[in-house]
Amino acid sequence: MRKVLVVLVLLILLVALWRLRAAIDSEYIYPFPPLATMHFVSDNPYLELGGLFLGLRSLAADVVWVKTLQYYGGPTEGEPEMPGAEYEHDSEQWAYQQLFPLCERAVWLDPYFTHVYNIGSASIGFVQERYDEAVILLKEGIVWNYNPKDIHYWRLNYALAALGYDKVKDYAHVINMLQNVVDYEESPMILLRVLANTYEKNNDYRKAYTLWEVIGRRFPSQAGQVRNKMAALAVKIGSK
Amino acid sequence: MILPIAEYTVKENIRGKIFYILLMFILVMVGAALVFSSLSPDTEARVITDIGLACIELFSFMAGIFAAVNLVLQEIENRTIYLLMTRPLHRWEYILGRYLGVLVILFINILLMLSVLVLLLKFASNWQWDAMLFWSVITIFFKLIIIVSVALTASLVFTSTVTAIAFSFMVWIIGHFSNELRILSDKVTAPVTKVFLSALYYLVPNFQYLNLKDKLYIPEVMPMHIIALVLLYSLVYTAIVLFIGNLLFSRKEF
Repeated sequence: MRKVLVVLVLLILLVALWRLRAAIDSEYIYPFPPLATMHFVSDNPYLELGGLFLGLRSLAADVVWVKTLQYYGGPTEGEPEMPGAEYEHDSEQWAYQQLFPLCERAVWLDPYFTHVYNIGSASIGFVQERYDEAVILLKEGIVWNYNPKDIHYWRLNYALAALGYDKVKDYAHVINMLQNVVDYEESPMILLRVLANTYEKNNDYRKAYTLWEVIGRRFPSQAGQVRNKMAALAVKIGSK
Repeated sequence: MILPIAEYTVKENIRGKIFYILLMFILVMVGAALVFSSLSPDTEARVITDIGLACIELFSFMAGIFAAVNLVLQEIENRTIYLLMTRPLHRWEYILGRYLGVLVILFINILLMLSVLVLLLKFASNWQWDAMLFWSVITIFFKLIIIVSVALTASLVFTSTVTAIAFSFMVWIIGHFSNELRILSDKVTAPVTKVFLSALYYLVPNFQYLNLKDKLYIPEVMPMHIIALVLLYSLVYTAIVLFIGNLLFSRKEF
């Protein structure tokens, strides 16, 4: 009798588990695309595999992104490369050729990492002028983060439009679009710098000067460069 | 008799200095906050949150499986279990009490680690309270509810600490790979492989359901009824594993 009861309880629990699993599977949306539907964008996918096996994809994306920032914020032209630096900058024109693949690695791990699309596309497109790569990155971001109620989604769209105008040097429209992307108190520094430089290209020296003031206030570590920029702009404003 | 056993397990773990994990957590988190505030100021809050949740999960996972595996095996080895079994105590009460004791200690640990994380986020970045952080930690605890029961039952099956820990670790990894297993089993045509992958998919707990920490930055909000179903799924899975563990334990002769 006891054995029958044990088997019965076990059976009831197993059926309950099976039904629950079916109910969850019918509605549950997995946060990330499955491995089988994607391709690895790295030759050394240790971080990717670690993220997948331990359920830490978001953290793995952060690590790749920090590596990207270290690469992009590495030594500038003329400075010696750090010994043992993982990525070598482009020897011909210092064009940070690895920037796009690194951004792709980060968003492969976490396609909802909107900072990568914003900062990555601004650096690749506006600064390095490799518009095709920047457009690919932004379009991926728009597809993955489709949500018309979310400001981040629209910012990606405006950034895409701004890139298009920048390519044909229509700076008035670039400014128009970028003003929708930039939130003066929140945006990453690169976006504020791109907007300030575009104001300058469009001969809006006063607006550029004001924006550099904001950059200097928000990012004290940039004080030296901000001072030089503001001094140069003050001369232009005075001679205008 | 369950509560005294659970209380005894909590005291035993405190004596075993399980709260040193908290010290490690604080060191890792403060270090991470200092490093990432300079390396990635724009994403500082996100990086600190991700590292914090990963550390809460991994530290608790390690503490949980080590504690669970040693619960019964150590008592058998030290022969203290013989003394307990002479008392008017059902074996299922003993198993459940020991299991609940480990969960209580893990819960306290997680709460303390979460408090450190929230304080750090508040002071180190312009972070604002997000309910998803709370739900992420709740689901981490439910992952532990499952894996501790698996580790405890594995220790009764294998009667070897190393094998039980290795088995629990394997279940942890496969459980996070559950969605991939389902897709693979749909795509594979060889019948034996298909059956094997499907069986693995249904046998191993799906930890991806409980991986809300990876859903923190996703535009869609997770419906509450799905969260409720997932939590219920974890409890039923745990009940089955503990039930099997109790059956094995009740067959042991002391």
